[in-house]
Amino acid sequence: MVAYVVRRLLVSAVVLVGISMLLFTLLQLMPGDPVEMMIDPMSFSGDRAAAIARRREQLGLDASLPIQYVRWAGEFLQGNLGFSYSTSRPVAEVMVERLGPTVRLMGTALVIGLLAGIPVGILAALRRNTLVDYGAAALSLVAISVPSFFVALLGIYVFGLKLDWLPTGGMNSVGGGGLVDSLRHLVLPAGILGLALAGPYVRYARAAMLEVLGQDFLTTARSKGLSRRRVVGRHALHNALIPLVTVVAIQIPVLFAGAVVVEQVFAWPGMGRLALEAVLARDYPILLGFVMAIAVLVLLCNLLADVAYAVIDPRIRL
Amino acid sequence: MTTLDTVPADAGSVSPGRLALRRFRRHRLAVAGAIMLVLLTVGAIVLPFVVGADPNAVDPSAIRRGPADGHPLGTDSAGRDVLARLLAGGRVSLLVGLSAALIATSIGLVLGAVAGYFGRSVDGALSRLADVVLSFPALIIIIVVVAFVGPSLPTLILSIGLFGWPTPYRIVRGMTLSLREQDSILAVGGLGAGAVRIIRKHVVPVVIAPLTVVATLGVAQAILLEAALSFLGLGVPPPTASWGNMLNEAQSLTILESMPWLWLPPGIAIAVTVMAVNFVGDGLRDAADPRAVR
Amino acid sequence: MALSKAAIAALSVLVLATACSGGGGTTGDDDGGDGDGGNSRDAAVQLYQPPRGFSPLLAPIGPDQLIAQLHWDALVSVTAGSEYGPRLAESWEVSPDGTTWTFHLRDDVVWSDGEPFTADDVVFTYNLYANPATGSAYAGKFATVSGAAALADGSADTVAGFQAPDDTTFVIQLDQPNVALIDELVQPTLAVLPEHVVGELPVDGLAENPFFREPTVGIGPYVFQRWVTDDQIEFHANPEYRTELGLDRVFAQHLTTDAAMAQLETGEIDFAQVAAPDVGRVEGIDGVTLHRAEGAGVMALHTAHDSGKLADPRVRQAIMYAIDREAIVEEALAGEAQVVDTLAHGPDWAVPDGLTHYGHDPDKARELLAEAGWDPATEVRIEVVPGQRDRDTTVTIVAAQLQEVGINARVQNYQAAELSASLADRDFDLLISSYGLFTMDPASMNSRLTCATIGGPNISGYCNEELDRLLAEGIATSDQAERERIYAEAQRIVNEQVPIFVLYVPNTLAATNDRLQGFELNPSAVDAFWNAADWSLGG
Repeated sequence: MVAYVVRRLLVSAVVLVGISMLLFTLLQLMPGDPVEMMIDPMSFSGDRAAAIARRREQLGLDASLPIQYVRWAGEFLQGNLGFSYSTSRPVAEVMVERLGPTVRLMGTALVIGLLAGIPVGILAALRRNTLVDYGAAALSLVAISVPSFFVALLGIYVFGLKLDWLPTGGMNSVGGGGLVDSLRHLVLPAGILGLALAGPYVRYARAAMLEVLGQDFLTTARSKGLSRRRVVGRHALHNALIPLVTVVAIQIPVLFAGAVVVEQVFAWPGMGRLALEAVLARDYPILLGFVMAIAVLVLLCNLLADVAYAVIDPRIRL
Repeated sequence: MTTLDTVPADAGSVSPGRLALRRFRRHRLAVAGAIMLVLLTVGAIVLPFVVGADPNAVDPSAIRRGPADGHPLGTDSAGRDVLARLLAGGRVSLLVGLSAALIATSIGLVLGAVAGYFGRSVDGALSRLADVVLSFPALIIIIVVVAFVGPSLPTLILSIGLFGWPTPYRIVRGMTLSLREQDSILAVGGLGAGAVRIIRKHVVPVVIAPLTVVATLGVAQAILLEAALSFLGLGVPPPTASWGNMLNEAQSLTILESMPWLWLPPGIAIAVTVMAVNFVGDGLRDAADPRAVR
Repeated sequence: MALSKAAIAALSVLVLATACSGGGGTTGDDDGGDGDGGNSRDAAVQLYQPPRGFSPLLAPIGPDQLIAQLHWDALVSVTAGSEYGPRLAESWEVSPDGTTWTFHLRDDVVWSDGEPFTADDVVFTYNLYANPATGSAYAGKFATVSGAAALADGSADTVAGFQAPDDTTFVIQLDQPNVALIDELVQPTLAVLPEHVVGELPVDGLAENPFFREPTVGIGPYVFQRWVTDDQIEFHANPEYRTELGLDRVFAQHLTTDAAMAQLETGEIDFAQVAAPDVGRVEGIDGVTLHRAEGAGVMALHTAHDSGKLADPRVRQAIMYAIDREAIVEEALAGEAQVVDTLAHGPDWAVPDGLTHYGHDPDKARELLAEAGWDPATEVRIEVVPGQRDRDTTVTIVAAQLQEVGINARVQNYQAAELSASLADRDFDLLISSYGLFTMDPASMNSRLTCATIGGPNISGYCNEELDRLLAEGIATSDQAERERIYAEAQRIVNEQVPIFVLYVPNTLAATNDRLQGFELNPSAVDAFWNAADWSLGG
């Protein structure tokens, strides 16, 4: 078990190095030079070429690509992700600041998605081929099919503009505001993201439950005279949760994609918007830091899912 | 421990009536989806000739006018006919959806067959890669890629396609693996038939049905991704109309509140199309393998 | 057994979720309970882009200029009436030969840490502006100050031409006359820095020094307190400010125009910039006032003149005739702009009568193109950084109207980062951009149109010897009648030659919540907080 984890970690490290090298090269080849952009010809008066050269040297961009990469990797290993080109702030600091809002949004959405999706999925499995099942299937398909930004626009239109119940954007009112204010800002974005997540969760839960319900040991349990309620409640449910955990865990990084769109629509100061802004501003250090963070998260979630699976289900040999 | 609870709970014993009910309902949704899709496709291809308006013809004297004669869905911020743009956008969405799904499925087919055929370390590496790609937020990576090469329709199709292969890959890999276990294939292999030949002769016919299902769902995925990217301003570059970039404008509260004709039609169009594709995909799945659960 | 395993599974999901949301929960609601309820002397203002910080040496971006008006102060700035207004300098004069500028400073100004402000601070700061080693974006502005060259080549440590004869007098000595130097000092408004603090920092690369992210000392009415989030800043009233202040705190927050409109309506923010299409909506909100001023900057198309594609002035005129600028203004901008026919469209004395008006005339455009032997196959790109709605619309319409007269025009979208590079390479046909403050003195067109500024603010690379001569004469002449004559001639050249395709002058639009009083709209949009010291809350 330990050996397995160590091996997986090593492989992950190699994958990370590969991803970072690829990204590093790719980002440097991107059209549009960040230094050119920083020293905007529209408003810069003086010797622009000299200023660009000076800034390039300051940022270490005058070195060759491999040297830049080695420098960056060295700093990265020491936990230093470099400095943002546009604000000159440490990337790690900026990302930590943006992580809070994103986690608040995604965490809430995840809880909403699980609370709404899993019971419905289980119910659909238990009431298989009834109206409940078909209704759940149709609803989850709708949730999967309607783009979240369109739902977000509808939400803003109905609850923000027409009914005037909820704020149309931002994480809290300017200048702070209390807990209630924060929650009011959270309702629409987290609710919409959560419902979008619930769609697939219904399907996962239903499939996992059906799988378990079809297994022999349940039949055995039932034949031993255990009540349906007991069988379903104690055995089926708990066994169905195993694959569900894996699926949900592996999908956590994918949440970021939904967050990008929702954060954009609701002017939410999270990681997704940071990434979008970094792309437009060619803020390579931020972009690199962001993608590396996602890569680490992806590999970690994959590993965790596998390990959790192994721990929970001893039948799986690692 | 009550014995009153005797309703069969497992899937094995569905009464014939229930089965029929299921088929009926399932098919009804799938059939509705298929009809919708045909209508949409025909609409996107034929209607532009009927409507006659050029989706890119601007009219600075009639900007953001509500639905009226001549402009059944009004005009946008550059005085362009919203209906014409909606139809043109439909073509773009279908084009992106179909071609991206085709690319993804082709890559998935080849890689899956390779992994299944060679097994061992090739399989291990490819499957690990598929896991990683599957759990990467495609939208974010595509945003980076698009920023790298600049937004254009081919870039969009290609990058969406490149991110969609793991699902078809898994299906093909699984089926190839199980085929490989069968003696017949091994025998053929022993006779010296090439891998390509075996894949074409033996793998493709078997996987074609489940692959169609996955490809259909891939179309829905691709349409959604295109819409999201265009909505963020990183997808189909203007002035080409796309449902996503038509919605981009609706981020303005003024438009959102007082000009619903500018954003409701493209939004509804995306939702209806994706839903129709998904319903068809679901129906196909049942048809291909009635026992399949997802 | 199964139960406990499944419990672990369920738990791990929950832990993931709650650990996450718990971690985030603490960031937003800082020193809680300070919302609108308890403290009524707080105001919140919108920044339309995320601010970088308080470094006045960097090439300016709008939000940085705005927050600088809260935290820093300058010698002079633009007033609401489009005049040069006193700030730290009470008055100023220029010698008749135009080479000596003398600023008389206020004697009652103190930095927020209690240190007195003197002319030495000004000399110190202007030396930083003139020194390329600091990373200053303005070294070119002060190239004609006596001794600037010596500083640049390292033969001197300071610029001899910046002098402080006493604590309240600041003198700029020029090698070449410039009667319009003051125009350079207000666009952008050049902040003054505290020598006793900034003097301790290394001069090399000072523009990027982290001090400017969180400056400890200020001189403006509301000094930096902290970054609430990385796009929201809290300012506190400067206890040492020279007048009584009406607010305790000001919060400046980055909000997109769309988000700002919503928050304006809910009363969450007190000030926001307004886009032309939203004017009708804002006017309909109770308790919100729309402020409107004729703008100072232009929305214009630029061509890289050295590419030769649009070298024939008749082609450039044809482009002007082909575009229905009136219709664009009326429809796409809801009438919130003025159509002008020259770059420096103010003040009144500087715009001569009888300039050609480029009204919409497609026939004339075709005629001119035919005369010029225009090849309809020549592709003309219209370069735009998409994202600003009225600009995107304008470009779409312009492209269609150029096609109508037989110019093969095509919209080319750029990312902001690509733009700078293509500007530097001068690889563009019709690049749209808005900028400037062209209403105070016609010398404002100098940096955009003279041969010497090619590679810098003269992005089109336009070079016309006759115009150059006139513009040089214009800043060397102090006689008003003479200047008027010189600029009349210069304006005719600009009007006929169309070095820059001026589309329109957008109105400056802003909205304030009625509880914010004392707000006076500055025609220069980036100077919106120029009179923050007069703000108070009422109503």
